[in-house]
Formats: sequence, structure tokens, C-alpha cells
Amino acid sequence: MLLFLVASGLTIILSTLRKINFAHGSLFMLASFFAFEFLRLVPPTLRSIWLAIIVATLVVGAVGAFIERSLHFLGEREKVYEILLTYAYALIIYEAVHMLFGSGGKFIKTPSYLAGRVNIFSTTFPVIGFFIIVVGVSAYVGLWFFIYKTRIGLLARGISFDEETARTLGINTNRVFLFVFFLGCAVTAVGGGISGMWIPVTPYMWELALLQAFCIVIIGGIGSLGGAFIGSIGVGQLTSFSIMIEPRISMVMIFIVTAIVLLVRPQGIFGREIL
Amino acid sequence: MKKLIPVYLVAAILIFTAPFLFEHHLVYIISLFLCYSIFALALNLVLGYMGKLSFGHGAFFGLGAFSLAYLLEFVPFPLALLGSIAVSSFFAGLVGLVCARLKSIYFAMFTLAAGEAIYFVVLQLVSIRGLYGLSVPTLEPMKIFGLKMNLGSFNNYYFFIVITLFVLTWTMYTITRSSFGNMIKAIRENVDRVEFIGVNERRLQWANFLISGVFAGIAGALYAPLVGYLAPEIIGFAGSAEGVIMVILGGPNTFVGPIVGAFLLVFIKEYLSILTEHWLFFLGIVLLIIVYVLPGGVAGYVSDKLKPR
Repeated sequence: MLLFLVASGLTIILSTLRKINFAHGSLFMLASFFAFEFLRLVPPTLRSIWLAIIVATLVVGAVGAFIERSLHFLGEREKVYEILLTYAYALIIYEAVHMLFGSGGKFIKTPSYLAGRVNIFSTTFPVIGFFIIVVGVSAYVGLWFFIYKTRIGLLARGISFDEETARTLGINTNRVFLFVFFLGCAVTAVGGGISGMWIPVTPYMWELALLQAFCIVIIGGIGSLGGAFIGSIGVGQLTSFSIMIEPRISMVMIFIVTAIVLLVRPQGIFGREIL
Repeated sequence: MKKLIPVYLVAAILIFTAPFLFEHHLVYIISLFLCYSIFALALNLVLGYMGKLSFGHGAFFGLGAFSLAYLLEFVPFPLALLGSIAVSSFFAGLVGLVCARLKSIYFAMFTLAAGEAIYFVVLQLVSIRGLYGLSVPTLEPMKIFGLKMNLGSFNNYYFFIVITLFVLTWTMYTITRSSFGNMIKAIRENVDRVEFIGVNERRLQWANFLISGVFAGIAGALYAPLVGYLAPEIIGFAGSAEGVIMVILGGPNTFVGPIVGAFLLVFIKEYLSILTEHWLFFLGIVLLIIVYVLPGGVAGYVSDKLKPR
């Protein structure tokens, strides 16, 4: 479900702006670090995981908005340069975090009401796992509502369909782009903030997050929220099953599935032809 | 480009006489630069001539290097070299099979994923032996066609690299000037039209990706005995990133661009890594500046200046 938060952010940016954000994994990692550092630095009265996640989300969303703005300065250049630019940001964020916070794994302390375990069918599950599932599902519902039921979502869909016409009709496409990019990064940042309670926070986690998000987006289909949802469940299952067989092979398994999907159905399972 | 011929000549002479002129460490860096420039040229076949961004080329470079190091334990150097070329071409062909169908964004995403997948496999295979990296056996003296060669000595190996580099560079130059190269450029400009005149563009893209991967593999194979110890990082993200940055730094639209880029990168890296271990940060900033200010790269800028107006 954490994967869904990363992948859905990526996919709404990709479908609306037709821009790929290679820095997405880095933003995910950055959010984890912000949440962690926030909890470490603020006085105890404010030390709440919720506040940390909100702060991390806003800051990372702002970083995302900055990246989006800077893409505009490129003007009408080839797509290759947009990819390169986000790639450069990915490198910079990764090394900056590495420099500032070190490479060691950090855990965000789980609040007591989420730290317990529950028994279901005589197997124990950690509560935090359920919490993550709840967040993931509500993010899915929220994003769906945003895209299909709000005005700005309608504009975003319109722009992804035909940008020229949308601009001709007097829509401020730049503002919609900025908002969508902010939202995409913010969703990812929520995932990043929560992830610190589930997996150790390291500067290296961006790579895996980015790759898995890419594979999910390819499998599920670009621009399809449902595809990203199904894709992340699938990839998550695949990862945990292949970990049972051989820990490091999971990435290879995901990759093979991605390759097969691309060969059989290049637009992804639920995708439509864009780009 | 007639004005630049003296520059090329001086560079060639400097490269050939380097072991007699400079101290050992500098010669070592120059030979690193030579290996990287083959790698960058290979990557440029895809990036510059086909206009597609491959983030997985470090994998072919690394496969060449690792398979050479592994094979050297069993067979002499020429056989190991052939073997490593076979390995990298096999994987390049396999990845290219999927890649040839993809458009720019998918292409970048997929090559990144492919590179990482290969990285994890190699990491796994290497760590089975309880090691983090892989050390390369020293090259034994041998006889080829009655000629005695002792590649174990550094200077001899240096000349071996230089000669191979010139042969490979000339080969790639011929490829880019051939009708095949022209077709690849046509694909970059307009795929639909290429398809329309009845050309199987997928097969051409596949072939180009394969050629590029093979050359990257050779570069890796030459690189392995030079450094003596292989870290798995060259395969993964960092290796591919270096390749892309070299090409962009030098200039993707010119033939010599990647060589210039490789030169700059190797020296920047050499001096930055003395100062800080986080040199990727500065490389990222350099990339940012290049993308904004010098989209044609350094070589592109120079050739623009020299163009008669």
C-alpha cells in the first residue's frame, strides 16, 4: 500500500502533464527523513506523528512544485531534457540527504496505539499494517474523488486529453499543472512519512521506491488510478512471495512481469494510449 | 571541422606518448578515461543518434567487466574477452527486444528497471562467494599468432587499450556514417515516416541497442583488468548515471562529444572524490547547469562557435 502512494502520485503527474518524474523516489525518501527529523527536533509537546507527516507532506509538496516550475524554464525542448532534469534532482536530493543525515537506517517510533498486534484467524498482524492499508485505500478514494468529482480534476483530465484545446478555452493550464504536481508529490510524501514506522529510513530507499513505482505504473497502465492500485497490490504480493523463496530476487521477478506486460499489452493492463 | 584537426592530432599524440611523459597515476586516469569514452560513445549511439535515454547501460558495461573477471579464472584473456562480449551482447539483445518497441518515457523507465534487475542478480551472484566485489586476476603473459604479449605489465596494457580504443572509435564512426546510422537518425527525427517508407524500425532500433550494448560491454571488459577490483556499483544506478552524464556533458549531437564528456567526468570525479565522497551531488548540479545552459554539451557549444556564419 505504501507502494500505491508512490505510484499513484507518479501516475497522476504522468497522465496529466505527460512528464515523468525521476525524482519521485527521492521525494518519498525525503519525506521520511523530514518526518524523522521533525520528530527529533521539535519540543515534546508537538511531537506527534500526524504533525510530522503533515509537515513532511507540505515541504515535499513544495519541493515538487519547485521542480515543476523549473521544468517550465526548459521551454519547448525535447522530452529527453525533462527526464534528465528530474534525474539531476533525484541525484541531488539523494546526495544531499546522504550528506546531511548520514546513511544509517532510522526508525520512526510508532505511537503506542498503532504499535500493538492483533489476532485474526490465529495469526498475529501488527496494527500498523492495517493502518497503512487504511491510509492507502483512503488515498485511493480521495484521489478518485479528486479526479472525477472536482472541477480541478475535470480540468486535469481535460488537459491530459487535449492540452491545446484546454488552453484555447481559457484554462490556466500552468496552474493546474502546478497543483497536480504538488498533489502527486504530496501523496507520495504521505507514504514516505508513514513508511518510517514500517521500514528503516535510509537514503538508499529512493531507488527501490522509484523502480517499484515505475513497474507498477507500467503494469497498471499510465494514467489509470485503478491500474496503479491493482498494480501495487500485485507487486507487493510478488515481492513478499519471492522474498520467501530468495530475498534479493524480488526486483528481478517484478522486472520480468513488467517486461511481459510491455510485450503483451504495451499500454498496461488498464491503460490507454497516451504520449 | 577542419579547424579542429590539429587538436585531434595533439590529443592522439599525447595519448600515445602518455606513459613516457606523465607519472603513473595520471596515466592510470587517462586509461580510465579511454575506457569510459568507449562506454560513452556506445551510449551515445542510443542517446544521441536514436534520441532515447537509456538508464541501463551501466549494466552492459558492468556485465562485460564482471564476466571478464569471472572467466579469467578459467580461460586466457582473449577467450575471456570474447566470452564477456557474448554475455553483454546476449543481455543487450534481450533488453533491446522489449526496448525497441517503447517510446521515450517508457524507454527510460524500462532501461532503468532492467539495469537494476541485472544489478541485483550480479550482486547476488557475487555475494554468494562471500565477497562484496570481485577482484580481477592479473593477466598472464601469452602468445597470440606468434607474438609475445605481456598484458600484465601496465604500460603494455595501456597500449593495448589505446589501440583497441582507436579501432572501436573508428568502427563506431563508420557505423554512424553508414546508411544504417542514417536510418537511426531518421528514426530519431520521425518514426512514423520511417515506418511509412517500409522500413522495419523496430528491428533497426533493436540492432542499434544491441550494437551499443556490445560496445559498452567491451568497454567494461577493458576496464576490469585496469582497476583490478570491481565494485557492483558500476552496474547499478551510479554506473548508468555516469554514462548518461558523460554523454550530456560532452554533447549528444556530436560524435566526439562523449569523448570530451568522459574526459571531463573522469577528471572531475578524480578531484572531487578527493575532496568529498558525495561527488554525485555535484555531478547532479553539473547536469542541471548543462541542461539549462548548454543543452548541446561542451562539444556542441564548441562546434557551434566554429561554424562559419
